[in-house]
Amino acid sequence: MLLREVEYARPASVGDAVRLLAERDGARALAGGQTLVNVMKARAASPDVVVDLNGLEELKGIELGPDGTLEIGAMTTYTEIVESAEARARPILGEVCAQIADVQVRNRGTIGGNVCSNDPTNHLPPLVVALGGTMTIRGTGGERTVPAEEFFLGVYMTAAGPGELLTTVTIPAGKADGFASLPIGRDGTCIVNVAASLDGGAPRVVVGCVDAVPVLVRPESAEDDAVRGAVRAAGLQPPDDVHAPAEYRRHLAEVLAVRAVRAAKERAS
Amino acid sequence: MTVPAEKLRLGRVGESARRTDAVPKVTGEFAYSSDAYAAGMLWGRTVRSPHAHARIRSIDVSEALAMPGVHAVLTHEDVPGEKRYGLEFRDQPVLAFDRVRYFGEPVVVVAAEHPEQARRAADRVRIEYEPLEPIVDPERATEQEPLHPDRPTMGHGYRDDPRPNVVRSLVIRRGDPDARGDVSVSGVYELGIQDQAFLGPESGLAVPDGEGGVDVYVATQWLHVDRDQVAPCLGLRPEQVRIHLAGVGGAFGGREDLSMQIHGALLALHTNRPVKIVYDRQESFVGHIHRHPAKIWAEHRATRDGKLVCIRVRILLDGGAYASSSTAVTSNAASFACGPYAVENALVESTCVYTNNPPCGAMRGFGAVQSCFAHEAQMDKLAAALRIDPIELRLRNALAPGDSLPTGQRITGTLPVADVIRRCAELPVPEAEELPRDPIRLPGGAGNTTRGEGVRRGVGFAVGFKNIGYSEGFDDYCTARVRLLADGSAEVHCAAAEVGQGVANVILQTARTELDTDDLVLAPATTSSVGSAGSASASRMTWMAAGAVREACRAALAERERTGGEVDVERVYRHPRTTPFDPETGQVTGERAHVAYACAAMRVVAEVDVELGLTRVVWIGTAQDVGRAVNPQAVEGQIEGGTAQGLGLALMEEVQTRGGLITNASFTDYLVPTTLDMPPVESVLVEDPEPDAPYGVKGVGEPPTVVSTAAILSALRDATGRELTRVPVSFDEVVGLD
Ligand SMILES: Cc1cc2nc3c(=O)[nH]c(=O)nc-3n(C[C@H](O)[C@H](O)[C@H](O)COP(=O)(O)OP(=O)(O)OC[C@H]3O[C@@H](n4cnc5c(N)ncnc54)[C@H](O)[C@@H]3O)c2cc1C
Repeated sequence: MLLREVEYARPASVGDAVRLLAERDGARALAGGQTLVNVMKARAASPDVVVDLNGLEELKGIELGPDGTLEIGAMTTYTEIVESAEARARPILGEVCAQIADVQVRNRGTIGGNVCSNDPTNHLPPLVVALGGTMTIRGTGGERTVPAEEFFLGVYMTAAGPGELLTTVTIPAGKADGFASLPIGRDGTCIVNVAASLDGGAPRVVVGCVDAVPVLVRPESAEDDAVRGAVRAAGLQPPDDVHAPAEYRRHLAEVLAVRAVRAAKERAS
Repeated sequence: MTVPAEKLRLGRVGESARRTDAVPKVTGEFAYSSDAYAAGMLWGRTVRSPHAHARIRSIDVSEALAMPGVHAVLTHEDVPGEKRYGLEFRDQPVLAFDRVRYFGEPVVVVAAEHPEQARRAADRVRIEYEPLEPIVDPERATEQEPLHPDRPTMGHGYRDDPRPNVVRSLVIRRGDPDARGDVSVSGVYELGIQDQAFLGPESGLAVPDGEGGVDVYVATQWLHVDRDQVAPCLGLRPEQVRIHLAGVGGAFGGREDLSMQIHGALLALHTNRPVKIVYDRQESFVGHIHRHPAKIWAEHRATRDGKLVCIRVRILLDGGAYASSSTAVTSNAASFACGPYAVENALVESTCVYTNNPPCGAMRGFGAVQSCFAHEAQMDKLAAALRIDPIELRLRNALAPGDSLPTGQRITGTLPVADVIRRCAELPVPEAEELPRDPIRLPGGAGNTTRGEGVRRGVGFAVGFKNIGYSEGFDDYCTARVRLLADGSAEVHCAAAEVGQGVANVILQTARTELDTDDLVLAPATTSSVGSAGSASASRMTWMAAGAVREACRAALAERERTGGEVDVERVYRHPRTTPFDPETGQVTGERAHVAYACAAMRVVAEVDVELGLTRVVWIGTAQDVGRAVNPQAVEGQIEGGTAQGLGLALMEEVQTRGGLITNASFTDYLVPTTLDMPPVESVLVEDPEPDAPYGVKGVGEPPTVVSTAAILSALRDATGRELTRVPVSFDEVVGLD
């Protein structure tokens, strides 16, 4: 299928990229293109100019701080995270990235693109919320940081607004994490996914795919019944679509939450 | 790359000769129909109905015609000949007039210099519709306004059904349908709409010949029947339309009906330029017919020791908006409703209705898939009620040559039902794998959904059978032409469509065997150099092509013996004649209504995460009645591919609709099995040569699809203890949410 005509820019610095994005109304950042190019092909989005971030070295790479904090550049690909020695400081990151789609998608798709597209079925939005990540956003007016749980605003909408770029995802130290998902097809998109983390006290359980944004649930303890009960009490309103009815998704959220927390507990001990 | 000498062996009948298309397909050099190209060609595009049912108030093409690069915008008014076409009945408009009857029905076609220009012009065609209430519930279709008031399927020798919207209704009555047994089990079964989901979307190239005629290069299953439908609509003589087979990217029945053929030819003749049309995936979902969804009510009565006494089955098929091959699917579903079992008393009623749902027609298994799903569920249920081993129950009732079917047809050829059951049951079932294991080897796959929690194992079994060849008195034949040249080489012509099933090899292996030489070529399949081969469907092509090529080769050799020079002979091969069913009783009116039968048995091991409803099929073993394998490796390939398609229907494949509109027309939302979903398949080829067939061959493409859906469901029921009466099985049904 052919694309509509579109202008292409390849800025040399993050500053230039932000300027381009701010100047032109119809400008869109292009990261791995694994979502953007597809929606352009389907004509669900038709930007006038794509601002290709692939030349920006500043946005790539993973740094491990002395306290175990990970600074992950927005343009880091899933494969780079899977293969990174530094990223192993928080093993769940590589494990979840390894579950995303197929080799081709993992070689192109980026952490920044994954969270900025905020497709409710993506793997990383619930994960960065569960891990207590922080997002660094750059605009023409400068830089700010937003906690991951405030970053996701709506379907395909995040705190990185028009004219802004997500530059870094910061993940604190930790290890007691779990993730369980139900993909459609053996390696496909999720119907429900749940990320859980027991670091920092009470469990953080985050359910994806059931709402426009990841849903953070705080059970009182990591016991199966407490987790199940907390998810039930969250009153989830998941979609009803060609893949599954809403009621089944609610059931999945409970079972997967229990399984994700169990996996996190095994890590903790 | 060096290839060991034995690998290069070209191969005769019975050998696993390497396929001619295998390497080019793997390396990407194979030219599919979508690769067709001609200098100066235009691109065609089809404007389709967004409604399932609507009256067309007006069509305004003026704006589209004025768009840059546009050469033609055509409507039904531009169809010079017959306004309708159809495989069995001419009920389908080339371009809709007065009303549209299904979502995606073609209304206007456009040709432009560039595909994007064609797309934009298509967007500017103004069609005013008056939406009508769509008929979407097949159970109510016979009480609603007729979709085809002129009843296009009437008068073809079938029983006249006075109810509106009946495509065909067939009743088979045998013995005493009220006969009672010691036990009785009943069930209601449903199947969703399955798509052929071939990877190569509909595509082709039409080239005007400058003398009023046209050449069409297209991926199809039966070149001559395409020609015979295209020519009348163009107002041309058959020889003015030449159909040439372009590379086929899968067919499975979905290319029996026309797609772009008439549209491309119309545009080419109108513009006097070659015109190429390629559907995209979304368009492909409305560009061809699908497998009939069905609802089946069944009751089985048996004696205490497990002998079937009486079977009663009612089948309702949703044919969608146009007839396609629904009449034959209706009778097939009825013919195989009781399974490959001997039963004295039966009442089978099979009805296909018109609705405004997606049109349905031929798909691998053709009516027998639906029936097998129901009769095998019933046999398991009966075994449970009688506390008899399900395999033993099937053996006690297995049909054998000499037995009569509920249609009264006596099995005169081979049909080793008991043999395939035994041979399949003998295959050792693998032990359960240890935990923990790689998540890819657990239900849910890479999703890391379970580490063993909730996982239960089940083992299932099923047997199925189906006809080989066209039935009910259809004058079916296949033509082959053989040229023996002065240099000792030979050229074989046969218009059999190579759709990926390997018929090119069947032809080559047959000709090498008969002519006793490797120095021969198979000419491209076309209507311009040889007569009809019939359809690459109904598991008939191997039998028919082998028969025709063998006769032509033998005649050519005899001719050369006589004349000594170059020879060029054409021969037509026919299988034993069939006759129609009696329209009132469904009993055969001659020796046979179906040419022959083939059966298969399958055993399945599956694991189910019963908390989540996820499934992993772990292992499949099967024994299939193949008559004689022309190319054993190709037969195994058909068994594996056919099983994958049945697995798709069992677990994931369904075209979903709302109010007649398709809601999942993409491979993101319509899932097909991948290599990760397919378990290893161990196949046993049971060779019991068919007396009426050349070399004893039988078709092998359909039995695995017929039996696999049923066998997988049997395993899932064993694992979950649930009834699971609908396929594709839904996660929530496996979990037991209501
Ligand atoms: C076949 C297939 C299967 C897939 N399956 C999965 C799956 O199972 N799970 C999953 O999580 N994902 C899946 N994806 C999506 C994939 O992970 C994408 O890579 C991801 O959603 C987007 O990342 P990207 O780098 O490709 O971004 P792009 O597609 O380039 O961009 C996506 C959006 O984010 C914006 N954007 C990108 N980077 C930035 C930035 N730094 N700052 C601000 N905005 C930015 C873009 O402007 C665009 O709007 C799948 C994709 C495909 C093609």
